[in-house]
Amino acid sequence: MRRIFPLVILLFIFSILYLAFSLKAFATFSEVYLRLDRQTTSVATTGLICAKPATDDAENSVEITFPTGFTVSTSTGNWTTATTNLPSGATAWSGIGTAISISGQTVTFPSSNLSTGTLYCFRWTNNAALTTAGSAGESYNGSVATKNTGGSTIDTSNFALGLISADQLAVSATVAANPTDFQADLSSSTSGSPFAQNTTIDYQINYGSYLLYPSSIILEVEWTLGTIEGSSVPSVEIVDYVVGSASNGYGSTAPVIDLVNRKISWSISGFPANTVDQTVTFKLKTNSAYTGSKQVNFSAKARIIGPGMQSADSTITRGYKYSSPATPTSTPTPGLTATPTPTTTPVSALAISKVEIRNISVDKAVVFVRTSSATSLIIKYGTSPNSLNQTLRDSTLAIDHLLSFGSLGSKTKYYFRITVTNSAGSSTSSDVFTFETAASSQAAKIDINSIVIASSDVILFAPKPGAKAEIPIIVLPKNIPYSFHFFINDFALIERIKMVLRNKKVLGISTLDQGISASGIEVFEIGDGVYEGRLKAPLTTGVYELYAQIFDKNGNLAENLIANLQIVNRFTVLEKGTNNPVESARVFFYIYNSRSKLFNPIHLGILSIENPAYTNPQGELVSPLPLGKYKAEIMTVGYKPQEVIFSLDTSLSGGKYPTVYLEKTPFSLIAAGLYFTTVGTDVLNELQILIQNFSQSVRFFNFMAIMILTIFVYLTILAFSFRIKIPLHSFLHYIKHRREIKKNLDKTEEFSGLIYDQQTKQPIPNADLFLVEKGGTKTLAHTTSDSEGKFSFKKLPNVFYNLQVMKETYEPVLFTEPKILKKQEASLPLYIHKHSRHVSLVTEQIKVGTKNTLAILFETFLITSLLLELTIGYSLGWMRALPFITLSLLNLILWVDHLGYKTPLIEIE
Amino acid sequence: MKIRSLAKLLIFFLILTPFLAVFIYPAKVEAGTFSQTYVRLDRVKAAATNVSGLVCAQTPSSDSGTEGKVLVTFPTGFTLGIATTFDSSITNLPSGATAWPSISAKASDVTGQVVTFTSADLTATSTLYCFRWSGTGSVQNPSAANNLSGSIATQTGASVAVDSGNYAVSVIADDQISVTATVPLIFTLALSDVSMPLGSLSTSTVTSSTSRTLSIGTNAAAGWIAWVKGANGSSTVGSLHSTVANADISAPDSCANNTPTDLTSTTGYVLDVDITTDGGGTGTITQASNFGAEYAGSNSTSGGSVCTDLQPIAASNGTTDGDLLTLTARAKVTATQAAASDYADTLTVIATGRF
Repeated sequence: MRRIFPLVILLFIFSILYLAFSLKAFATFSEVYLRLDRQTTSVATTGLICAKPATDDAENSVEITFPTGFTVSTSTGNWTTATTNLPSGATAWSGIGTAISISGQTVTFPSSNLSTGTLYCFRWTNNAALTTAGSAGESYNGSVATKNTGGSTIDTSNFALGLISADQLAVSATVAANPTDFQADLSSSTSGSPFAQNTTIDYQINYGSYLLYPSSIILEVEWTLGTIEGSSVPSVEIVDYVVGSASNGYGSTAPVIDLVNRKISWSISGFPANTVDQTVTFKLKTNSAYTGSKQVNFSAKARIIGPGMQSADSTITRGYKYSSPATPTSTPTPGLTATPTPTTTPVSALAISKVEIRNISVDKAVVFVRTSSATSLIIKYGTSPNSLNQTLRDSTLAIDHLLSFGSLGSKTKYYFRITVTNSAGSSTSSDVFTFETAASSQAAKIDINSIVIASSDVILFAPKPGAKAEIPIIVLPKNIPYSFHFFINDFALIERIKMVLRNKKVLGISTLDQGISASGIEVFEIGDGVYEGRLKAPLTTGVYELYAQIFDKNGNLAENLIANLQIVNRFTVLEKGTNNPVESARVFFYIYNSRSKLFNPIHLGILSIENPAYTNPQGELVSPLPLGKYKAEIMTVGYKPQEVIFSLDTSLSGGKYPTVYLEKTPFSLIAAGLYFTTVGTDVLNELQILIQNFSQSVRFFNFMAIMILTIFVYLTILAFSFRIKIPLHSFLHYIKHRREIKKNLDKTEEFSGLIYDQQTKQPIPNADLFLVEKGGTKTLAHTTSDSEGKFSFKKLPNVFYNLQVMKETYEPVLFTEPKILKKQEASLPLYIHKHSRHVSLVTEQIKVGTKNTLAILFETFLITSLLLELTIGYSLGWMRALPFITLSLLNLILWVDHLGYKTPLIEIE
Repeated sequence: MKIRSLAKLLIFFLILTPFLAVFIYPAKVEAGTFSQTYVRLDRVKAAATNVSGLVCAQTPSSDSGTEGKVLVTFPTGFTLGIATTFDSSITNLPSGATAWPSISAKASDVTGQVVTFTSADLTATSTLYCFRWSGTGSVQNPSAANNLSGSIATQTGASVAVDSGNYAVSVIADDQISVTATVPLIFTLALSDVSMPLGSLSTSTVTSSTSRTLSIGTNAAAGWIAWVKGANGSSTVGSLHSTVANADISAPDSCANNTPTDLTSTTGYVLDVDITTDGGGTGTITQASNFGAEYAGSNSTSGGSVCTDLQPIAASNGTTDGDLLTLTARAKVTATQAAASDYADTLTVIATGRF
């Protein structure tokens, strides 16, 4: 026992020492980090591990424990390592190699002995080894530990990793080409502009690239709306793309037709370097959207959109002018029951004649297709022109097809190609068309309660307060203009509105466009959300629908029905028997009052129509009437007066204007007198209305005011002229002479004399004496003789004048001054004599009386003129009255000046 | 006469005596009771030594006498040191308390369980007076947990009781709660955007992209390192590549270069990395040689080449609460550069904390 005890003690001490040695506390690395080469979530990545040992021991392995959430490959073969591309200052990890074991998140690599204080690094090079966690965050902690051969930890440290949702920056840049590096020359071989309706116009684009390397280009051609002559705003869609007319571009690149934006584009990738004069062709066809008399100009513009640039437009502008169809020379007799001879429909090649995009919303689009004969139809569509992988079908054999694309993505460009097949099995396909769906939004709608339709000042439809909103039905004579306006609540986003008129028999029945006129017109916003447009009724009778196509900034294209139009023949007056039109027949309308059961004459207080109206050379009345029941009295010379009662009602097949056949009668003076009396009364009434209307015009009032003022100012000046007895044409000379006399008063000489009757030798009082410039006709001064016939003037020295003497009943006499002076020297009076010819005393008295009256009224005229000028200046503007005020003030100054002037009377010895 | 005068004098003194008695005999004062008393032990753990504490007493509504000392009687079981081990102070008193006037710096006497301090008169009535004691060897708590009571009394300088009151204390097995926390290793990284459009490049001026920021925060003691690599070009020269034109706008020099390249006098594609904010913490951002020197463009036309291997763009040597780097791509092209609108590169930006 005593022997064992020391051994036990020794063993205990040894055990304590061994335990102390084996449980030696491991140290932390001086520095450790793990770099992921990708730092985003759920990404396979390579990486870098660096550590700086702090404990001097014999490392045998290194264990990397990756954060929880990271996917660690369990295949050691995936954990290949490398010691290249290490950070600056780092040392390649000694003895590192492919992983030797993997346990959970921990991967163990081999290692050789490491020195303390040295930063050792290695990379794992296969991104199949590690995948980062699925969510971004900052708390991804792991650890690095080195082990010795006994498996004991030498150094260990934790590390943290941050993961972000995106760790990459996309750098993008454009190197733009020069617009002149590309060729895009548009030409047209079709001559004859302005073109009539239904003219096909051929275009060709020569295009190419001068770049020294291949490039991707988009060749684009765009056609504009037509601009009606005299307007500056394009407003009418006057040409349509001819379906199938665009040829392929370089490398068999098919064209893509954008009907909404009126564009054709060829997206050519890898267009070869320095290649020019490639060609594509296409056709546009004029329609009859505009049936007015003015020319409509439209353009086609070709361009190339290359890398970072767009070439200048190559533009061709052409004109369109509506060509009226030939007017039939006679109208068929009513009641004609002749059965039309059946005609053989010409057999034409199967073709797609029209494609229209009628509605586009966020997830839907509606396309209309018309073919040359009844066909079934398949539309292949998709989001790429080269991948039309969805299908729409219409198996019904028809000429017109309306198909709806559904479940579309918002703000997405779609492409489609139409293939039609007729009953014989023949097929044809269209070009590829495109449209873009709208951004998430609601399409704008027209407020039906706001629709107003009018023609020739007659309101054909207006919303009734409190009545149920309904689409208007209008009965309209063919080929007359009408206007409409409506309101849209969500007007802020509206880009443009196009009006489209369609024959109601649009589906399944062969209706061609020749009859549809005045369609495709843009309307204009005249107030916030209030739009107004003007169209012309079609030439062909029938039932039509008027739509507003609303294009908004979100990309919606919404068709709103505005009105149903029943286009009927005009009110026509024909001669019975011959069916020749009766011109100038007087038609007087009465409207039926359903309460009183009476027809009341229509006047302006009831309806703003021309009543009575007179037929034109075609025997027609062009003015429309609103819906209602009417009576018309028709009369003209040589025909028996007639009455007709007719209705224009809301049934689409109901009312129409009548054709009246007047029976010819022998000429009757009484009937003719009655007719012309009626016409005279009409003319007087019209004149009365005209004057009434004219008198209500502010401009007319202004004109009259100015005219009256002008007359008053003229009369004032004339009165002043009579007052001072100086003719108007001598005013300036008179003033000048007076100023010279005044200026040289001390140098002036007296010029006086006596006036005697040559016959009686008696002095003549109150004779008018005018000092007239010598050799001229201008009057420089005036005076009258006194009771003894004496007169006197002041004159400038050494200046000679003529003296004109005038006295009623006497012959005017002109004396020259030298002679007068001689007579004065001889003390001989100047003689005048009575008229030697017969002169009416009454006429002369009237002349003198008028002149005297006007002269007396001068002050009155002057004051009235000034008052008028002040009134007009105040009410119409001082600039307008300024010239008159100037004249009147001048007149006033002259008058004041004249008041102080008296001709001195000189006693003649 | 004399007798009568003496009688009168006697009667006068007999009448005067009761009044004089008031002045001759002092008034008898009754000891009062404090309105409130408490002793706070700063440790209430059983057997705790060197326990300091607080003594508080609120004088009654009427003055009971002129205090000259205060006697604190500790409950039985407390071990008290000698008088000099008790140091008093009047700091850190409870809110609303008044410093005990002229409390002696050390206890004047310790007898049995009673510790006496001298003080001045507690002049104010209804006032809470407090003082603290401390000192090595002053108080040791009882060895076992228990609820115990003691008293606080004041006396005049002549040891006449003035006021007194009792208090109770509770000694418990352990009066301390351990609060623990761990700050984990933190490394945060954020990129302000993922696109850097350069737009249309010019042959005459250097075009710069929209700048993006990389923000880093970490408590890694040794700081952080940020790297960048491109997707095009080689491990020595990166580029913007156009698939359509099959053309490159290459970096003007090797990414191993340690100085920025100014594109004013050359052409190519570079990345500029600027230190926008050196955040709080122990670290300082550096773009020293081999740590992003080539990307430290000093103007709006300079930068360093990006290549397909990760290149350090900046580093820090300590902790940070938000370091910000601004990354801007710059490029200028030659007149012969192929036109294309799809020139692109993808920069991978990473950073790691050095723990």
